[in-house]
Amino acid sequence: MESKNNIDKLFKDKLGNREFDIKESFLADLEGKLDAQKPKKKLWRMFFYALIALVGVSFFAYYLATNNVKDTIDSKISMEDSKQNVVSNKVKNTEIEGVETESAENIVDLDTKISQKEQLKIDTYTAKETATDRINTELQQEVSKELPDNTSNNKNATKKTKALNNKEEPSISRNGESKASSVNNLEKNVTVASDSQTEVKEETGNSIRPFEKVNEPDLAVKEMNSNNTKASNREIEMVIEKNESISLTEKNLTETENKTLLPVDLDSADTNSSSVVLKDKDKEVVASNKESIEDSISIKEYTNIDPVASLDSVVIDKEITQIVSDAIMQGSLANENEVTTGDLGTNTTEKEIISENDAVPNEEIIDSTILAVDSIVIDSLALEKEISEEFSDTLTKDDSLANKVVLTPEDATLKKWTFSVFGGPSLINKNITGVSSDAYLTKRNDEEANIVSLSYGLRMNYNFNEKINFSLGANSLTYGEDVNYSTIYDTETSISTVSKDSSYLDYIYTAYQDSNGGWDTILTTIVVDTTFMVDTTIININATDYAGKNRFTYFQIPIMFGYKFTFNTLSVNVRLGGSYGILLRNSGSYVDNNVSNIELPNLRKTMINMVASATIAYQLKKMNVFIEPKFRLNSGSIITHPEFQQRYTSIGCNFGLSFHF
Amino acid sequence: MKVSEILIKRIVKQDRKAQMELYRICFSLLMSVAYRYKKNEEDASALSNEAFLKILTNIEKYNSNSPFESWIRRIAINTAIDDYRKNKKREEMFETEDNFEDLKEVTYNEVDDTIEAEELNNMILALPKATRVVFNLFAVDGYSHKEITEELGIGLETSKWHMKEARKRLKALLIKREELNGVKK
Repeated sequence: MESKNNIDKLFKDKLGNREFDIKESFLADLEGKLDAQKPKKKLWRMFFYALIALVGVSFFAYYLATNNVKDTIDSKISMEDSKQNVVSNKVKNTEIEGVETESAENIVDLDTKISQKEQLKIDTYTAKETATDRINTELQQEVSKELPDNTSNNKNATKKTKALNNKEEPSISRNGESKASSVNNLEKNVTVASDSQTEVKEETGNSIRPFEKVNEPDLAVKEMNSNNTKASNREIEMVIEKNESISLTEKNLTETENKTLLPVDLDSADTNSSSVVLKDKDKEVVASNKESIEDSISIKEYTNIDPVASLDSVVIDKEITQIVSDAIMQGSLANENEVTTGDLGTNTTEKEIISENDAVPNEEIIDSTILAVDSIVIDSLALEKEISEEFSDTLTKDDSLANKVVLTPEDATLKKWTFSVFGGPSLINKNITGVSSDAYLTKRNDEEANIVSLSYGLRMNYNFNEKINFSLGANSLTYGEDVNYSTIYDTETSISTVSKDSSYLDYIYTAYQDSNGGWDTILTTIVVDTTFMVDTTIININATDYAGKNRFTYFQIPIMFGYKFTFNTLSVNVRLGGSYGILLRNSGSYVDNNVSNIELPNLRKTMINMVASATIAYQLKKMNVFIEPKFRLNSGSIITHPEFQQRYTSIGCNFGLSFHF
Repeated sequence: MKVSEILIKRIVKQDRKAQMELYRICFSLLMSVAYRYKKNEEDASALSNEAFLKILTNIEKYNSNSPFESWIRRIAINTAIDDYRKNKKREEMFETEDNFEDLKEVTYNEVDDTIEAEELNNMILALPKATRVVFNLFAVDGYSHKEITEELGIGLETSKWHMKEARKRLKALLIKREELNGVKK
C-alpha cells in the first residue's frame, strides 16, 4: 500500500504543476482556431433562426390545412343536402350536430357516410325494381290461376283486338291464318303511340270521332265484352306489366296465342252471336252491325249483336275500367303514352267501348272475373304499399345509421396525423462473425449473457390514406450484455540480462634480496575479470477474473413506412424501415483477442438499424391502445474491430397509446 | 493564479489581446495536464488550445468565488477525456511494454530528488493509453474510481484494474531506471 501511495505521490508532485514556454507555433494555432470559431457561431445562429422559421411555417401550414378541410367538408354537406331531400336532411343535421358538439374528427366522416347513403339508396331502388318484377310475376301467376277457363275467350278477344287494331289485315283473322302474327301486331299496337292513332284516324273517316287521348285502362276495357272479360284481364295483365316495368315478351305472347287461338274456327264463330258496342261518353250504347263498321272493324264476321248483353258488359267494363284505372294510377305508371293503343282508338272515341260476344254471356264468369280483377288490384295495391313501407323502413334504418356516429379505426386512419408514445422490453442478442480464434469466440459466447433492456420512444405517423402511412420517431435502446470472465491469463514474457561477476584476485609474492643482503617480498595483485552476461527469460502469469455489464445506449430515429389492415375496432399496421442511431453513452469491456486481457470496445458513434414492427391497435373513443412486436437488426458491426463484426438483434414488444388529430 | 474581473469582461467582449493575455496565464497549467495525456508536444499543445477555447467560450459561466485555477484545470482534464473518447483506438489502448521488471521491492525516496519530471512523464506516456488515462485521472488529477467510471464509461473493476496495471508497470520502469543508474555509477 505504501508503495502504491509513493508512486502516486511521486507523479503527482512532479507532474502536477510544470512550467512550459509558449512557442510561436502554439500561438499561431490558437489564432487560427479563434478565427475559425467566429463563423461557426454565426452558422449555428443562422441554423437556429432557420429552425424557428421552419417550425413557424409548419404550424401556419397546418393551421391553413385544417381550415381548408373544414371548408371543404361544409361545402360537401351543402351539395349533398340539395341532392338528398329526405335522407340527407337527417344526415346533415346529425353530422352538423356532430361537428358542433364533438370534434373535427366527426366532420371528416360526413363524406363517407353520405356516400354510403347514396349507395344504400341505389341498392334500395334496385331492390324495388326487383320486387316489382317479382310482383308482376306473381300477378301473372295469380291471373293464370284464377282465370283458367278464359283461354278461349282470351284468344278471341285478342284476335278481335288485333283485328280492330289492324284494319289492314282483316283477312288474316277472317281466314283463320296464323294468329301469332296478330299477337305480334297487338304487342306492337300496345307499344306504339300516337303515330298509328293518326293513321287510323284518317282511315276511319266520318264514322269515327276524332281521336282523343285514351288512357290504357280504357283501352283495355274497350276490348272486353261479357264473355271476353277474361281476355280483358289478359290485357290488364299486359297493361300492368307494361306500366310497372316491362312488357311481356313476344315469345310469351306467341306461346299463349298458339295455345288459345289456333283451335278457333273463325267461320263457325259467325254463327254465334257477336256484337260490337260502341259507347260514347254522351251515348250509352252505340250498336253497329257488320256493315256499319265493316270499313273499320274486321271482327264483324264472327260477332252477333246482343244489345242487352253488350249493355251489361259495358256497365261491368266501366267498373273494371275504373278499378284498373285506379290501380294503375296508384301504381304510378311511368309513361301513359307508351301504353296508349292508338289503333284501338281508331274505332272508338274517348270513352268508346267495344264489346264482343263470342258465345252466350256468362254472368258467373263475369262476376268471377270482376272478383279476380279486384283481387289483383287489391293485391297490387297491397304489394305497392308493402314496397313503399319496405322502402320507408329502409330509409329509416339509413337515418338511424346516420344518427349513430360510430368511430372505427378506419375513421381514425382518415385523420392525417397520429402521435404515439410507447415503451417496452426488448431481448438483446448478439452475433459475432469473422472470429478466427475459437477460444476467443467460445469465451465470448460462454461467459457473456444476453440482457433485456427497456426502450422508450415516441412516434409521429402521417397517413397518406387509409392503408399507407409514414412514420418518424425517436426512441432509445440499450445494447450490451453481462460479462463474467472467469479467468484471464495475462502472460508476460521478458528477458533479463544478468551480469555474473566471476572476477578474482590473485596475489603473487615475489621475494627479492635487497641491498643489505636481506630478503623482502613484493605483493603483486593480479585481477582476472571473468564477468559474463546471462539472459534470463522471465514468464509472469497473472490470472484475474473480470465481471461487469456492458451497456451501449443509442438514441435512434426510426423512419418507417406502414400498411394498415383494419378489422372493425382492431387494426394491424405493419411497418418496415430503418433507424439511424447515435451513441449516447457506453460502458464496459471485453476480453481481448488473446484472452489475456480486457480491453475497451471502440464503438461506432452512429449506426443504422433495420426495423420491422406490427402495431396491433384497439380503437377507443379518443385514442388507440396498442401492442407492438418489434424487431431490430444492426446493419453493420456496432464495434470497430479489425477482425470481427459484432451485430445486435433485438426482439421486443412495446405497449403504447396513440392519438389522432 | 489570479485573473481580474476586468480581464474576464474584456474576454467576454472578444478582445483578442485579453484572450492572449489569459492564454499566457493558463498555458503552463493547460500544458502540464495535456502533456500527460499526449505523447508529443504538438498534440499536447493542440489539446491545450482546445481547452483554452472552451475556457473562452464558457468564461461567462465562471463563478468568481471558486479558484480560477481549479476551474481551468477541470476544463483541461475534461477536454483530455473528451479527446480520449473521440480518438481512442484499440492499438493505442493496449500497447504493451515488455522491457520492465517487477522483481523486487524498492523504495522511491532515493529517486525523488533526482528524477526529473520529464522522465516521469515519459514513463506515463509509455503506458497503454487507457491505463495512462486512468492513472492520470486517479493519481495526478485526483479523480476517484467512481468519477473515472462515469467519465470514461468503464466499469469500476476495469478502472481499478487499469490503476493496478499502471502502478505495476511504472514500478518496473522505476526499478529499471535505478538499476541502469547503478550500473552507470
